[in-house]
Amino acid sequence: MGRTAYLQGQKAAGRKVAAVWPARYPAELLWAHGVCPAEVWDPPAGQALAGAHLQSYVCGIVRQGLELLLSGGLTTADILLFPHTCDSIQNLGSLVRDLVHEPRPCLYFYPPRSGRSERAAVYLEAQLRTLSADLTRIAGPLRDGALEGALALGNGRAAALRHMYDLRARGALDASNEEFYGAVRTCEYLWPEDAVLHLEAFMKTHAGRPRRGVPLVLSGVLPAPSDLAQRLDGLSVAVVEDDLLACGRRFARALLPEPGDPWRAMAARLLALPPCSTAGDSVEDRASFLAEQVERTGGRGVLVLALKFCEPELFQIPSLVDAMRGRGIPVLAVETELGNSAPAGMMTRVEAFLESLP
Amino acid sequence: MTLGMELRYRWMKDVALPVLLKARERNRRKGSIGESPLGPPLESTRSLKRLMTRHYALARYAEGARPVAWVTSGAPVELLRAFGCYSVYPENHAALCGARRMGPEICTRAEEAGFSRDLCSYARVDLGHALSGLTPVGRLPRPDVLFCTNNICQTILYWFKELSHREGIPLVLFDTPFISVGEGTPEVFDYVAGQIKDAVPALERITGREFREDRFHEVLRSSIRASALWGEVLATMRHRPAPMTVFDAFVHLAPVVSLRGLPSCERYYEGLLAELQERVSRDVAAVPGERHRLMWDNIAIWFALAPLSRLFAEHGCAGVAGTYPNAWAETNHYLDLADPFGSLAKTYALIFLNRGLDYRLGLMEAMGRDYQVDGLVLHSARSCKPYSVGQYDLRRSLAGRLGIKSVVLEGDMTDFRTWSEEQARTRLTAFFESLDG
Amino acid sequence: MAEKLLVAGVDVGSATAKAVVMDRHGHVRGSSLLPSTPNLSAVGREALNAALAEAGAEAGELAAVAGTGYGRAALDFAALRITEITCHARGASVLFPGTALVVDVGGQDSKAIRMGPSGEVQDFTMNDKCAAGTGRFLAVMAGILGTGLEGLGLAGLTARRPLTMTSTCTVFAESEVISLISRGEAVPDIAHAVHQALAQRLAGMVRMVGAETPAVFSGGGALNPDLVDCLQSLLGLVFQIPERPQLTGAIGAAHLALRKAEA
Repeated sequence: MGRTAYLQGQKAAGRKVAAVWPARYPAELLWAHGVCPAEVWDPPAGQALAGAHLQSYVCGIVRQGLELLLSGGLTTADILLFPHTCDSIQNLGSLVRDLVHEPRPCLYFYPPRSGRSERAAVYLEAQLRTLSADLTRIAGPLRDGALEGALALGNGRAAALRHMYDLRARGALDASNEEFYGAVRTCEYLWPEDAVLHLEAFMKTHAGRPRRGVPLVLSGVLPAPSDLAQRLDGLSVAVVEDDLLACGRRFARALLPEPGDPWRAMAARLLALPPCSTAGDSVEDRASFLAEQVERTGGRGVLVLALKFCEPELFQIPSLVDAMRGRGIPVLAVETELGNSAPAGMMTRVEAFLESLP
Repeated sequence: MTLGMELRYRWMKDVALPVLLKARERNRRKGSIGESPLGPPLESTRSLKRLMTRHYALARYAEGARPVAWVTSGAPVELLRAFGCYSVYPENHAALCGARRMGPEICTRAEEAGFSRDLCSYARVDLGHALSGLTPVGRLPRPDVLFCTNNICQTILYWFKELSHREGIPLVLFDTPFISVGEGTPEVFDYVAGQIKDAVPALERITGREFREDRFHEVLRSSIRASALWGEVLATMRHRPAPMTVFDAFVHLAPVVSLRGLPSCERYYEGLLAELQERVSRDVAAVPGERHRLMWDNIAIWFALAPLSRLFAEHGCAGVAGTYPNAWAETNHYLDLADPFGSLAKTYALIFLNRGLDYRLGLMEAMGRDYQVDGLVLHSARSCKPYSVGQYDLRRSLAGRLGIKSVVLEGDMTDFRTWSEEQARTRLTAFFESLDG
Repeated sequence: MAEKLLVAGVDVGSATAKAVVMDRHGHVRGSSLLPSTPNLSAVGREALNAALAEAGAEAGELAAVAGTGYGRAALDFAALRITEITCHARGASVLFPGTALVVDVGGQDSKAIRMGPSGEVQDFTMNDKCAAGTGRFLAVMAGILGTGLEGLGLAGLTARRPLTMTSTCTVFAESEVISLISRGEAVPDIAHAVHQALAQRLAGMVRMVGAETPAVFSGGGALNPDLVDCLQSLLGLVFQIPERPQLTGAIGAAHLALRKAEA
């Protein structure tokens, strides 16, 4: 079933749909209110409409998301949610509400940047309550136990993702890169229970001997351009781990003890996500996380997919590359744009990198 | 901090530099300005140059004598001053590099180290400087602390984190959540005020100095006054003809950005305000024959400030208002000695760049009316996403609300590789042609 | 005023220099179109002389000359110097009275201009420096595809399979086209994708100022039928195209010179 049909089904079942921009946000709170998030990362879209609103130096995620919205591609959504991920998404969220005069409710969420401190947790919790009040007005109040239920759903989905990542890392998944990321990215719109079913079915179908190839760890924002995973398959690359913002950077790598209070738990969960440039984490934390991935999975190198115009990532890449090299881990950073095809020049560089691996 | 260093700093500050700078000025005061479409230059510019040159020259001697802080333009510097820190503003320094047309040269050094050309050019200038030592001001002192607030952008956070990582310098960060809608909530202000309070013991540790509340209050008082004076300076441009232009404002805002809270800053603006008031009383025009009054949106195009100012004047156009210079007069009225931390939180969280575009639209509309503006020039700064993303719609809305025409200039603050002089001239001239009808 | 009154408009662009000689009734009596050279003043004069020759007139007969285009500042023989924005708007409303929108795709710049009821410029926008939005971009793509500039437009019309290009800068677009070639895509399909990408950028510019009709497409880009088609269908409007679209700016300049001569 396609994404739109699925979301229409969700609405028919009485849920609301929220179009959610990247990257990290309290999905559990939306679920608790019976709202199904449908994320807007890199929809196929032109730029004829967005071009009247955005300069050409604005990143593809922001441009294509706005194009999709303006061309009527988000009509299933009842709510728009803009997590404050970067300056460009910040202004996009404001632009849509204040200047394009989007009639549907626009909600905002600000992930704190002040480290994983108690102050950040307190502020997060207050914000979650405000967001919940907004959602109550749109989708109705929280039912008894809804928060606890949603937290359990979140744990279930994270556990399924961990399992799948773990199988891949151990070489126990007979799936191409394209198939793997196709499956992971269904989490961007599936209701968590459906997502878990889908991931479990995927693991069952693809159980077996792994594809052979050069084990690499991916870093960056998205497994994009869209044919990149397929092109990596063609080069016999077996991705074994990633800290992609859209994928591996969005679920905790271990089940952590949580506070009993569900609001606190939700805040704690956001603060327990892997290190991220958009959260103001240090490049050292990010490098350690990646190095650990490489070591655990036997990855032979790291391929960084730098998304053009993505400031949080582009600032960290030089030091991240240095930190990897400092640890003796081969690394290649290539600049990518969203779109339909990985440019030949980029793939040549990837090929040369593979040839250079010890 | 040794006694020797301290003595050297004081000697330079009070004795040697004033003498040196006077001598330099005497040598430079030659040569005529030639034919200019602009009115008489501001007398105060000379004291401004003296003040800022002294600030950068003294910075070199501050290392070792004072705790040195590198500060972002929207950070609560008042707190640092209570510790007697010497403040250096990388953004101001980058603007200076831009004005001296050194942007691309220094940016290239950062690009060679792997920083993308798509990143903010202020950041590239600063990182390029850190990597190469290139600067038009001799040398910047190595900081003991980095002092950063993300109320102006997230870019500054990534940039200062990177500096901190590379140079191994402690970073004190104030995270000011973006206020998308409304006036901000108590949670936001509590969160920010809490971080400012937390910074006190952190700064005591880093500087080895004790926090002095009396000094803190004195600084706050001075900062309130400097911002109020700066607000009055800008307000003189409401007069027809305007006694200065927004291009002058870009030059004369350096002290309120980087010396706010110091007595020299107050004194400077007292002098500037008196000069402007005197001009107003005599109807001295910054642009003789002022025909059109324009608003400038976004940071200056530093490398083209002079030619743009000239081009405006040639067409009888005076820039009389700007969202950027206004930022340092905008929120300081929140400062309250009875609640220093809470009021600092409001002052710094509520600046327009930290608020939704609806607020900015209202602000620009009010400025348009107050300054009787009949046209809008938007600098779409490739470097600056929070300032630039949304400008196309702002201009559309303002055209409707104020009935004014506008033009967009694609440019940058310092990196003139993205700037087409010829095309900018064409755009502006065509815009002026359309204003004349 | 003398019945024989003649004026001229000279438009020196980055790729071509154009000149028009006009009589007092606004009729074009002679015109020229030459490739541009770095000596802007000389090529401007050369273009003017060629237009004069076609009109059977001499320079001394001209009551006023207006210069426009990127080389206008160098045209020392022009009494009037006006930007190409104002001139394209004027030229389009001379050719098609009542024009509300002009899209111009020239060598160095493209622009969208919205005009008021009497042809006055109300709003305009131009491509930014690094964007893939100009005639130069088409020339580069035609070079890579080996079609020649004229062939590119014709090739695009015969496209069969839709391809997408999303790049926002010329460098990326170039490598995207090379990838498409190496993937074995057909030249007409790639040409069409190039036009579609450029048209999308132009559509954004048009929407910035407001898509109004009647609309005119001027400049060398108007000679590319596939590009015009793409933009028309993106915007849902039909463009009027001058017989010689590159002359629009020079015609506007001549008309402004006429107004001055009559004043």
